[in-house]
Amino acid sequence: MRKYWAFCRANIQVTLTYRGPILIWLFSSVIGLIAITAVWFSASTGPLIGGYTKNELISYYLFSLFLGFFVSWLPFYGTRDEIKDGVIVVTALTKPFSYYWKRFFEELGWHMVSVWVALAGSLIVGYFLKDYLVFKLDPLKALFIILAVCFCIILTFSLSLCMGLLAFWFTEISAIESIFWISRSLLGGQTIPLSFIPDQFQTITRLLPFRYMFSFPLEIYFNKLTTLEIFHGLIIQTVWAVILFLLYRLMWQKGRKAYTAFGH
Amino acid sequence: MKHYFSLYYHFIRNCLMRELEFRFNFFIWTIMGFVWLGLAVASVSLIFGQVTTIAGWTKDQTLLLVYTTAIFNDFLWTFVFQNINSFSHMVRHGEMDFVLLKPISPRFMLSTRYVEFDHFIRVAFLIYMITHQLSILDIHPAAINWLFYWLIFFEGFFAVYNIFFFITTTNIWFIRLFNLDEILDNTIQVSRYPLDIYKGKFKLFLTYVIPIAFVATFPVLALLGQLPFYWLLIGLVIDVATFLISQRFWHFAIRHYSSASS
Repeated sequence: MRKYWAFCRANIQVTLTYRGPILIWLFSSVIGLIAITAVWFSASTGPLIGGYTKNELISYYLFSLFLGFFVSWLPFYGTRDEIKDGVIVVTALTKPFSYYWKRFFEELGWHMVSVWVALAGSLIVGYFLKDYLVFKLDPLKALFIILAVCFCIILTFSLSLCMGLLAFWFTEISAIESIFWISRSLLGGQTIPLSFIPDQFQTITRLLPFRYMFSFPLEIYFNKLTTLEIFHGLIIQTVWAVILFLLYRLMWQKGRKAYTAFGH
Repeated sequence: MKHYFSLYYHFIRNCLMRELEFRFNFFIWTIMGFVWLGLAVASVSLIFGQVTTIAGWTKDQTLLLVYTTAIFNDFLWTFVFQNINSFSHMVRHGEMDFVLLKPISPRFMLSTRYVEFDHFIRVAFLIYMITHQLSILDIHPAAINWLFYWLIFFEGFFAVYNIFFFITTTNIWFIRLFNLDEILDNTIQVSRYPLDIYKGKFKLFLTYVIPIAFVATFPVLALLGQLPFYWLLIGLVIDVATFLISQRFWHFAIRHYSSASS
């Protein structure tokens, strides 16, 4: 395990050296938050909007800002670049460790820094919105949320890694990354709460993994789910985590055999 | 000046040749452009599934903003994004030296070197969607309104380019701001909602300082015949001011550039 912590420590140092990108991501997210908050303040609506009060919606987007940073473990970019440039031969293929855990601990290092920046940003924005924020948390619900968030991280990480591994077979995979963002935005509840989606599409959102990568802990927080539905959701998260891990193993085994690197 | 036109022609030619080399990539990104547009339309439609108006704008009017923002975004991807992204790469890898040593304006080279071609089909489709949306609203703009629309639109485009050139220039100090296009993209996405949702000083800020108003709200109002013509003059002043400020900052920054390779 010590070797993996070395990856984590190294990535903490890299993140601390190049702080600019984190601030840019935070600033970009805050811009989006300001816009959608302004939309809800100026919209003419009834008391409930898609099952949420206006204050709940504003809280939803603020918590989304923090959650977005917290759960977005995205090894896609690094994996894709390592495979495309042939660097993976030196960094992983000829080394005695698991690529999955190497990437996991590198992401952990990045998040150990970025999460504090996201927290600071969320608290600053939260201060300006404090009159509208909804706080409703009990210990049991907190436990469910922690569990759900952990699964969100595992699912996002595993799917992103699998997408990166596609570079073993295809030279250009950026479009696939776009599909991920679109799916998580719309079917994961990042752009708008899933209750806004028409009933006929609700079954799809409940079966696909994107809801369990983002919206699920927020739905628990805002009391939109019964205890049974929460358990049901956690089971689906577990199933997806297993499926994606097995998919990773399959892709890693097949990909290594199909891969040709030059110059290393 | 003729020299610069000739150079730009060769840049475009080179980019087109590169694009034709990867035809599958071109095809995929053209499709993805439509998928992203679908996401934007779906988001706004789902919001309007729950509300009747946003700051007095109906769904059909707001869709005009969505389409105009998408055209703006396409122009940014075509002419600006790739150049901005390559800036950071050049500073990091010491390749900026090769730009600075060329007997042309470095700003010209950094701003025009890359052009993308996979957005033109979407722009044509979006223009069709705007005319279709106008017919739904039973509005038939005169030629002068269309001209006003495009003039305001390009004034906004030039101002936004200047502001982001200014921000990109900070790479000289920060070295690794590889995700600057995120800010640009997210800021532009704000324009898909009417400017009237913002109040007070923030609205003034988005009109004059970061002139997001010129991205979609003002062009659409021009098309609907609800924007006074003096905004053309204000837009011109903003363009000149943002250009001069970004140019001064660029000259200041380049004095602090230290190469990474030589």
